[in-house]
Amino acid sequence: MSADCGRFKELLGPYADGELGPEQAAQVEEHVGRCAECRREIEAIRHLHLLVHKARPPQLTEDYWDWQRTRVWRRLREDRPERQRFYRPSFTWPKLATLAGGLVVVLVIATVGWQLLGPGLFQPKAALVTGTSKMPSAAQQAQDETKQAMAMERTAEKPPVRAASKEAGKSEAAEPARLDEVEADMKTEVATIEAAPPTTSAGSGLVVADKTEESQKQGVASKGFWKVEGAGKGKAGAARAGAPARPMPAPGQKQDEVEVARMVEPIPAEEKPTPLDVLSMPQVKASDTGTALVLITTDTTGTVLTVKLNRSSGLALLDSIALGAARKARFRPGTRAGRRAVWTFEYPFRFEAEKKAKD
Amino acid sequence: MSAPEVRATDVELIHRCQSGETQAFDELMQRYAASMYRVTYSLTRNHADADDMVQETFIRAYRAIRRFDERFQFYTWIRKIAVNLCFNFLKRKRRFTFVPLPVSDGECESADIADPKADAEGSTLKRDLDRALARLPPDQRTIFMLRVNEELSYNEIGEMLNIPIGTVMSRLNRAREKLKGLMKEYMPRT
Repeated sequence: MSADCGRFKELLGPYADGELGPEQAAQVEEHVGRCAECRREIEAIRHLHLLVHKARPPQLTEDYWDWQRTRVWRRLREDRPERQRFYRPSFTWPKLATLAGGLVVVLVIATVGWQLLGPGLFQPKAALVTGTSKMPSAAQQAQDETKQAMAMERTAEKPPVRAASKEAGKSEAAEPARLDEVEADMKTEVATIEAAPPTTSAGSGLVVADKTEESQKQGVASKGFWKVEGAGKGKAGAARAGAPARPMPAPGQKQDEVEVARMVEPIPAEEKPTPLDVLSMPQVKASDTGTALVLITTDTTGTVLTVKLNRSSGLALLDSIALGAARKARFRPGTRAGRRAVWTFEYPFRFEAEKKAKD
Repeated sequence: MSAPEVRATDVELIHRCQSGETQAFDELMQRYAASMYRVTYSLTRNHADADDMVQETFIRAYRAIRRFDERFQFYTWIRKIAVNLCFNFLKRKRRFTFVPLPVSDGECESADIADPKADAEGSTLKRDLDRALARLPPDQRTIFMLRVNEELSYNEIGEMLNIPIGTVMSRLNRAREKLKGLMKEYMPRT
């Protein structure tokens, strides 16, 4: 390589491409005529270009070009200009996620609000048909309401300290000792109310559905319509509260054990169906009292098949309320010969004025 | 005897297209699709990518046809669109490892290829050249292919890519040096 090669090296490419001016091209040409290495360099560049030309793009079919134009038009139809996209409603994932997040927040607020304000805030003033539910949560809620009603009455009869303890007893899980105390009070309260003569009140009317006389005859002590052995008579107490009562655990016995005991209770030889559900009833006047006897037929699952007014209460409104409540009621299936059976029985719906706590 | 069909010029077709006649743009596509494919293939070295680039080129051209400056040729205009699309595509693609799949002799790349046998004849050279070009930076590769395949002058390349002529020259020299090294088994022995 001569000393001039360094000066011409950068010009060899443009020379091969014909990009140099006449003067520069003449200088390079003169050098290449003398320098074999630069001549080979120019040949290599031209050979490289030849290789690229040899590796030409594939020849495509005629159909391909038609097909390609079709695709272009399809894409032009599908892909509108960006500014038109503003008018398209698009529910993209981020929007859906935001919506879902908002719903979660609303649900959380509603749940917290419910727990803070208490379910009693939204409880209708209507009286309830007493009964029990198999659902533990519903039974627990009804039990809370019973206790709350009891505690409210006690505020007039007992020292304020007791009422305060009931208020604090809302968190029962945290304070089982207070729960037991309140339940013990309920038993005492039931006996007291049963002994006391009914008093009228100016408040809302109350529908009282009795436990059946059959169950009394069988000597099964009940609180509401739960059969609880060892518990005191809960007829008046459950009726006044309009809510079911759960079986009371014996001293030293846990609530779960009572539930299990109830579930494994042997089927009695013959038993009339007993209601299971808590039914809300419309509000009636305090002066509207009476007893409607409804003939109910239940199947082996306790589902009501037919209802018929056997004896009117004297008021059409109360009769229709009783029939409506009977239709919606669910019963613990009746039994015959130790088996669940279809039962037709008369069920009394007694409407009494709500008892009010003594001042 | 029917009168000979008078072929509309590009400018006439563009005017008709600007007035909303889609058939005119279809005619333009028919005229230049193969040329655009040649440009895009030379830059991407891949049939599928070249096909996508041609489609995108015509779509962009159609959307911008109202802004077309009649001082330029239509072919020059859409070629610039195609080159810029390919250049950006190569820059994006360079983020990933580009390894052309080995294609055995006689195996065609696409059913659209008219003569697979003829295409396969240079398949080894083509594959090696593709691999060598894949190792070049996108700017060097684009400049080299525009010079060699499209035979554009340095000035035209500089204008198309908005770079000075000196930069075109230096990048082209670097691209040639690298390719000579990578393709040395095909180069004449000294």
